Amino acid sequence: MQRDEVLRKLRERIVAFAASHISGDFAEDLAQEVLILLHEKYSHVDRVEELVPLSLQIARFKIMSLRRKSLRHGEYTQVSIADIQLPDLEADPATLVERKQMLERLTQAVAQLGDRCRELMRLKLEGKNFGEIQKRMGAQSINTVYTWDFRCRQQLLDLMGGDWEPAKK
Amino acid sequence: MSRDEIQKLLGGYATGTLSDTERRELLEAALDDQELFDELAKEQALHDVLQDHAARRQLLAALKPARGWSWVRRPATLALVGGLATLLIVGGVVWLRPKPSVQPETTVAEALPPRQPAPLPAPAPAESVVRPALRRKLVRPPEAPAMAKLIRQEVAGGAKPVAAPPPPPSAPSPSAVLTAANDVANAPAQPPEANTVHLLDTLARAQAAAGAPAKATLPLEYHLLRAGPDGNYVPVAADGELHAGDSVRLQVGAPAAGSLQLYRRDPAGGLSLLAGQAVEKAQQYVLPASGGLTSASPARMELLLLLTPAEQPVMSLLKTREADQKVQGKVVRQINLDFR
Repeated sequence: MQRDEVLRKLRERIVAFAASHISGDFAEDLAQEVLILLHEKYSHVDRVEELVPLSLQIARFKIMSLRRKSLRHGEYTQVSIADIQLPDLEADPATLVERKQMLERLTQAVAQLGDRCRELMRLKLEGKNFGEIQKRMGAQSINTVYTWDFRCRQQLLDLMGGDWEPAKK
Repeated sequence: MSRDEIQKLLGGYATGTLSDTERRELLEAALDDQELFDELAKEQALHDVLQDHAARRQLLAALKPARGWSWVRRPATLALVGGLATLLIVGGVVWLRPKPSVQPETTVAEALPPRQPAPLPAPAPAESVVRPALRRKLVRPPEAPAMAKLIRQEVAGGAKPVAAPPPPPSAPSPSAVLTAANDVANAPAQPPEANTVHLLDTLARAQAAAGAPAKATLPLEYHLLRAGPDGNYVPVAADGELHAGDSVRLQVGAPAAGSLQLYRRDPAGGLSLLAGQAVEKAQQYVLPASGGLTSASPARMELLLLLTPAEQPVMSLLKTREADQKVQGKVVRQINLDFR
């Protein structure tokens, strides 16, 4: 799949995703900002396995920053998407705080998982892939491991209130 | 991979568990599937957190403690532990259950001061050796010596069942005075002295036992019969008296089947068997069957009626202590005949 085709599909997906979180106009702007950033700063990235995660990361940061500014200004529409600067994820204090809060919730949630899910989560965090997990847990097939992981993810998501991130006010 | 299968790869995206192939398939599918893309976008938050190694270590630390005890909650482990617990409980109950043994009694005995060993019962001695001791143990009624002096005649012989005579006008009086009959002098000799010795001891105990109301199981009823001028024995009236020279018999109703014996206390204090008879329940018998009880002079004749339930030789019963104990529980009745 060519890079241009990937970017085109990405734009469609980002606009639709952002539209479910912010207003339509801002969703278009958000997608444009992401593509500009990919074009200007990440022009050397052309593989879909890299472009999609990178675009998701930028879009998520843009949305979170927009929400923070809207909260500070008291009105969501008063902030232009163009005012959101290029994210520096590792250095952003607000992002670090949100990650810390999410990690606390996650730690409490995994403690409530069942034995199988805990074992599966442990192996995943240790860096094992699904093939290795299949052998370690004695699963009949790798599809069984996929199913286990899907259910465990859903269980963990439910324990965290249906979303990995805290509910936005 | 189908869409459902690709969607199951979502859980591996954030943790970096996917292989290159799985990752590419998931992301390419997300470009064409908005719903999957939205899910992937939500998963990005977790992905960003788990990229931090410190965060991974914290989660692993949260998972490890429970991992050490996770085997406890496995069904197989619970079943095994439950089985062992049940086995231990059952075993403990069986082990702690009091067992019927003499050990507790031994412990109590050791706590008590030592006692003098009880004298062992003498082995069954020869009759000649036992005789003096048995005589000393004889329990006699207070009037026994006086009565013994008055007894002069013995009557012996086999009794036989007879048809029940007409009922007496009233119950016989113990103080009835009868006269002795002449045919008593021709009565057979009394039983051997050796047998009498055992009877003395046994019947004396029986007499003592007879004093307890509980021992009187069934009444041993009797009526006095006196020989008339024609030689036939007829009941003595309740207020009748016996005179010296009267010939008397006892009509006894057997309350139970067994062996009925009639004894007389002799002047020396011993008892002699006058008559013995195997009897059936609810039958009437006359003792002695031949001859009669008589006294040539005014005197008191002390008699004992004994009914043992089993039809067996009286002498053999009385030879052992066990037999004595058996006799003690039987029907015994003392009869005093006053010849005036």
